Amino acid sequence: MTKYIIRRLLWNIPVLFLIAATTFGLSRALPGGPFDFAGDRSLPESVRENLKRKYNLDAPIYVQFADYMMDLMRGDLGPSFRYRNQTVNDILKQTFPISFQLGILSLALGLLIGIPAGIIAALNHNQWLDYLSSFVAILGVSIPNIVLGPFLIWIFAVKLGWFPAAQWGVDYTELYFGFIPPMNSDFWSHAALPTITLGTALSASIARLTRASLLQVIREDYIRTARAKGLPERTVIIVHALKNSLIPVVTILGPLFAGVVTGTFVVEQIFGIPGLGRHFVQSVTNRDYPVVMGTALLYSVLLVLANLFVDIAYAWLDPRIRYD
Amino acid sequence: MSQGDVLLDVQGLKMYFPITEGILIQHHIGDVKAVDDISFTVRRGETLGLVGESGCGKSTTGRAVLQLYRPTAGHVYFDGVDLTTLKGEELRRMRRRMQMIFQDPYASLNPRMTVGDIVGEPLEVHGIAKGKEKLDRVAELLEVVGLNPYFVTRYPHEFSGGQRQRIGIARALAVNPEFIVCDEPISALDVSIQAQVINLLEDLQAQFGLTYLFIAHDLSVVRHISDRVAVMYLGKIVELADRNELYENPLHPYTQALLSAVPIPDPEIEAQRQRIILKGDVPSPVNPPSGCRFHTRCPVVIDVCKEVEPEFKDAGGGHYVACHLVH
Repeated sequence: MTKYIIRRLLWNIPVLFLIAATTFGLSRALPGGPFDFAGDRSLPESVRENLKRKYNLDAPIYVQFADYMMDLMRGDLGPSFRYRNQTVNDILKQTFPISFQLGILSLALGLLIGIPAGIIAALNHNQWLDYLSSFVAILGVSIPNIVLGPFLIWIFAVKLGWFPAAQWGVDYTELYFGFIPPMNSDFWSHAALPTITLGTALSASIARLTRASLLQVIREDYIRTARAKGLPERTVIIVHALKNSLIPVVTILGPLFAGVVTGTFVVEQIFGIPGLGRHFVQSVTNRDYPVVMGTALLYSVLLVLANLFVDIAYAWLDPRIRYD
Repeated sequence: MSQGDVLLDVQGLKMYFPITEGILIQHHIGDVKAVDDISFTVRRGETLGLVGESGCGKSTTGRAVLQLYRPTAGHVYFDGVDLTTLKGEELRRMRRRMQMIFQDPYASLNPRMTVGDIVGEPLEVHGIAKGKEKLDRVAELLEVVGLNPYFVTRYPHEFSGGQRQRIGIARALAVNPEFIVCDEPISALDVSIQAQVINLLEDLQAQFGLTYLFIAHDLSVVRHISDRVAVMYLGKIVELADRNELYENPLHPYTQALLSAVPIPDPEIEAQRQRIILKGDVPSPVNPPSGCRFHTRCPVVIDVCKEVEPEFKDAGGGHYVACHLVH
């Protein structure tokens, strides 16, 4: 197993290198450059040339890429072209933990609601509880965050005043180890609405997957064996059926995790959360090459690691899957 | 055959599976009459063979007897207790006394559990043994069915079909049951393995005084292992008699046709064997034929067969048969 993990980690290096090279090439292939505008004025030609020289953008692209990779080895993601006083490391350090907190909370909410809802639906197959939960799940998948977010704000923040309408409760300077937020009421009250917004869609898709997979498993012969043993129904479902039906859920958790902890542009915009999400979008429109690279690499690293964890979880869920 | 005391008494057992139509509002449009009003008894310590072609309701009977399906109608008395009236906890406790060996040893073992867990789990839920005692008992059970006790930490996929079926048998034996339904326990196995498993089942019966309901479609195997044999056709028992009586003096035309299909391991006699070939297919259990269910394919059908359902009754010496030509 250890050997397998080490081999997988080593294999990820060429994968990440390829992603870095492609992103580097594609971002620079886009027409325009980072210094075309300052605000709404275009910069004079001479200023642009100077800036390009300062950031070494006039060198051939392979030289730039080699330089970038050398810096990357040292853990330096370079300066932001847009936010003049900040490095990409600063930006990630300030925004990623916030997105991560929101993402983990939403994913937890999604699992907490989605798996039990899926189980209830499957156990009441083709009865009203099943139809109800499937209906709610389809509703949850279909309502876009851009509708649900403002709707929740309108009801719970504006009308009822239970939660703040926007912002994140803690600043990145308050985080323990730069990551863990203080669990105070400020944090929770600010987190509630965006977490529900993001978690609803997640729980809906998790519920549908759990239901479909469990329905298949409870028809298996060994479930009948378990009943014939005289096990209580609860044990039959939780011990025998659920573990067998979790594989598809675990499979989507990998990409879901990577996607959700790196920030969601729409939800962060609606709630004014200073997360990483907007940098994915703005860095491209700004041609802020180092930020494009930084966000893309962070996402890829998380994705390959999450998939590695998924594969390890398979081995735990299904003893027929063994790696060596 | 002496009249031993009756362990299992099945009376008027019916198992219908509803057929529904429609997506939101479901209409009940009919039933698959998998088992339709059958009665039989199994005596303590005997093996009752249950034979019939695919889809005649043999397995359904086995499952309905153990209440793995809840029967549509009828009663199943196990040692005097009507299982059909038991629910939840009471039924669960009865499962300690009656077990099942399943047909498919590949599908009937949970792939995520070790052999030790599969065999040991019933011990724990029925409060028979825990911890060290449980492990000892599991090892003992594995030995009883001819497996190495060292296998406890392995998973089902690491075993061959015959070994898996032994695990299934050890699992069924774990709770010291009195009665075991063997649902085609050998039909998924290689011929070379079948004899081993049959011998094991016989040894275990002698050793633990077990009572079997042995479901199979292999007539020779059923003849070998059974004390009495029941023949099913389309959800009904058409004939039930002591083994030798049934094989040597079959009364029902369906039984005669079935037995004529058994090859004889002697080339000279085999060459003279007269087969009764039945015409057509088994009718649908949704709309079974009127009168005698076999009349559409019966080689000796008479008019009354199409109108009146023959009674299932004793033709002498405990040889039960449902046929107008006999009664």
